[in-house]
Amino acid sequence: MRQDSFEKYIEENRERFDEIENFDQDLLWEEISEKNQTSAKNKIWPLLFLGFLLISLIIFSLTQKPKPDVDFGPIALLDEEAQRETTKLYKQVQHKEAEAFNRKVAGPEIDELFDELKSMEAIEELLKENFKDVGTNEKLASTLIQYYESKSRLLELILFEIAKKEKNEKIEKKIF
Amino acid sequence: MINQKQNIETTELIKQCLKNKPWAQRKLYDQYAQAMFNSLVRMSGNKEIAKDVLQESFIKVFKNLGQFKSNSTLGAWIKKICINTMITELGKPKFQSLEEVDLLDESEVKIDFTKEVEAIHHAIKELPKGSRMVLNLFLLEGMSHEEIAQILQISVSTSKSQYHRAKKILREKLQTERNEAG
Repeated sequence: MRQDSFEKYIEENRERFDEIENFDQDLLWEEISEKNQTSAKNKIWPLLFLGFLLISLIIFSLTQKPKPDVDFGPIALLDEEAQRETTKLYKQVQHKEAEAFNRKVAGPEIDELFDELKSMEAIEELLKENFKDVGTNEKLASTLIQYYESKSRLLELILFEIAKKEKNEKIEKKIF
Repeated sequence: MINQKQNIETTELIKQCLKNKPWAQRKLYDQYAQAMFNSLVRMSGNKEIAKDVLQESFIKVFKNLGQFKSNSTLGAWIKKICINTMITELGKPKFQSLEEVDLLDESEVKIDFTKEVEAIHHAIKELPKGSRMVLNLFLLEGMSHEEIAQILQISVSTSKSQYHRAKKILREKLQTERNEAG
């Protein structure tokens, strides 16, 4: 677009147009600075709140007792020592169970014992259902411990029978 | 070389402002406040409105400085914030009828513009709101009619016609003042 003399004059003197009006720059700065600081403080509050929330969560998680490895409720009703004992018993049962399945050999006595183990697991499921329906109480907790003790004994018997069978097989190999 | 040095200084100044250093924020304000204020006075025609808008604009500048991208100059970015804040403050302009304006009249009124900067500045302040905004944005802020149309939510032809109208009024006003003085 072709510039006329007016437009040309303004373009040539553009910078001078920014120097005409004066105002109290210090006073306006004070107001800006004040509002700016308020705005910065307002930004800090959500951060402080988040920080507080995070610290609360950490403290809460540190003050909580570690959860026992047993995956259902009534054990929490026992005192600390009983909880430790039950957890230990539970781990022993798991360990023995894994060993029994790993070393499983065919044989009528052993098959019978594994059937019994299967029935016990059905009882375990039934117990869990009861916990869900009735809620947890000390009597059920005690029943659970008795159950693991029985399962542990049965697994020991299975492992004993497996060991006996393995020994017999070795002897038979030597003889024949 | 000078530009490069200025860029480094500006980048450093922005960094310090983002760290909420009051001295850096003050330095940035000192660097641009005067020019922005004059621009806002011309747009609003009122010093008090200009001061309020300048204050609001600088608060926005410090709040959003992290979003500044170096594909424009810092001054242009701040100016854009000031202009947008002023447009929000003044609202959508209402334009006066153009009946009496001869849009084809580009004849020169021969004025000796020497030492006329102040007179032009004050005459711009007296223009009707709508044409004053268009003239400022086009002539002094270097925006195109397309950009003005978008920012003021008007048509390109309205922007052009209002610009011609403003220029005609200004010429007449300056001529009258000169005749009275002369």
